[in-house]
Amino acid sequence: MELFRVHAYSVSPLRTLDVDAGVPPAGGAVRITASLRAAMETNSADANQAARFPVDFAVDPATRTNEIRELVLDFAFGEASTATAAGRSLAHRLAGAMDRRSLPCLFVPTALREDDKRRVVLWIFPREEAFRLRTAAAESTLEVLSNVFSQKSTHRKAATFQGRHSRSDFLKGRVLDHQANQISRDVADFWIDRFLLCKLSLQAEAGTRLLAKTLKKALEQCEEPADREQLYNSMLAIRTSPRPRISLATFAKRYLGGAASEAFLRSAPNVESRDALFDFRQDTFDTVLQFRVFHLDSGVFVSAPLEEVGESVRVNPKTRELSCSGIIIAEQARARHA
Amino acid sequence: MPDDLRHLYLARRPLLQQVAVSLDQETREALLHVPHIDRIAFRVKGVDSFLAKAADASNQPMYTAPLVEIEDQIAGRVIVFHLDDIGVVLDTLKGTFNAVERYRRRPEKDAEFGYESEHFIATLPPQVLPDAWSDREDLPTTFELQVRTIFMHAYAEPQHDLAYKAVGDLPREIRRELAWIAASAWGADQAYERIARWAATQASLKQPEPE
Repeated sequence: MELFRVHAYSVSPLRTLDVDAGVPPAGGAVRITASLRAAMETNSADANQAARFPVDFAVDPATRTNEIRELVLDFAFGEASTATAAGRSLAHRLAGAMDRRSLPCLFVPTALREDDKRRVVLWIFPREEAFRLRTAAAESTLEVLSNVFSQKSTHRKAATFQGRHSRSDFLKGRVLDHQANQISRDVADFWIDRFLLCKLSLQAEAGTRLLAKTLKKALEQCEEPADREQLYNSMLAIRTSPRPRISLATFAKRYLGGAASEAFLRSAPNVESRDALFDFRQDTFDTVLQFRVFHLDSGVFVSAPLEEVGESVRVNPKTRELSCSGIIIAEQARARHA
Repeated sequence: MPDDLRHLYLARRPLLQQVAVSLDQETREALLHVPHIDRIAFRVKGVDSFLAKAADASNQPMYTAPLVEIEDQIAGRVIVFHLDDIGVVLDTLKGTFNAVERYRRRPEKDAEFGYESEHFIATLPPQVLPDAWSDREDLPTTFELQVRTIFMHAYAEPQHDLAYKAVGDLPREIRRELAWIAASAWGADQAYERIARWAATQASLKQPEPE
């Protein structure tokens, strides 16, 4: 695809500020030089290597509209003046979605074309301070540059949407956002929810069922007790994790290793679903997995398949006392509970 | 052009079929604990039906890329017992699918009786897409789901079949016969709804007092 449109705006946070107190975004269309084209291609290639996940525009089902989608379409398919108005509106919306915790940034919407198809990539690069050394025979100088923007920062973000100008295209996209699974919901929601007006493509209930089913399949594939124990421990760990937003790939990286991790990832239905982020739901997880976990006042955790509750694991409904009997077939010393 | 389109549609039909099977499974899992589900079924649009829709001049604007734009290439149906169950099903499916459109098909005039169904168009979620899906750019991004009662379905299916076989406009008497069936189905749904509410009240009266 051919890069044919690049705009750039300097954007500072406006959310939670009086509109008059903030600095409105400044910028517009920029000339596409050979070096800029090369830089944007490198950025796209880097973003493709990094974890990217699918999102859908949160479309109003009654009107089938989404404000950001309309602006993205204008930017992709409109004449220069329409694209300029769309770029400016996007920059204003971005400023309105950023609060004081966000770094001022460079917002770069770009558009590429091939036949009747377009691709729009929205980038933000955070502002950083840098030095510039000027060497001279008489005296060298070190200049502090404050209006530079980092292309490699983990705080950079991107969103890609593509297709034709039709009602069924530009509904889905892919996002690069390393903060999307932050514990703070406010930070996590900034790019996808507040600015892009998108939802995760893998919905909470469906994602949690997918995780539970993938774990079950992986358990069937693993015969080594150590691998099975890793999988059981991961089931307990995710239930108490403070980070409720996860993907299958992140789950494998965070909780599994070796053969257990391989069996888990092999059990995913497709490549697309491995990177798809979703919001974990404990109640759905327990229902699908059919496990119950009891936390006793002694600090002991008892994890039981649902069919064993009432059989080898008994709970007195009045005193809430739990008793469990069985023969130990494996044990391990650990520094802490999973 | 239609020959090309036929060939292109048939070539990708196995992929669509795989997605339909996965969507069926996702829908069943999502509705596992929802009562009053009569049946769930998904299908891939037949090639003749697809070609007819692609060439239908009544679609304004006309499809320019029907392989991508036609949204019921993969479609599903959930049949429920009562009118109130339709809302329960649609609310439950929000946890699994991202809706882009939702509308109720019903006769325009209050005094008319005819086809009624709740239509729901959603994006295809990532877990149902076969790996070969990402290799192609001529595939749909959405699917359609219809949610209706047994009586709505009892009217719609034979009516669709009969109307499809008819040559030209239906005679007045036949249209009146169909309207009578639709009115009877509508009345039956209303009556069942009243009975279901009465039964729910009875059930709540039978609840034992908490200790």
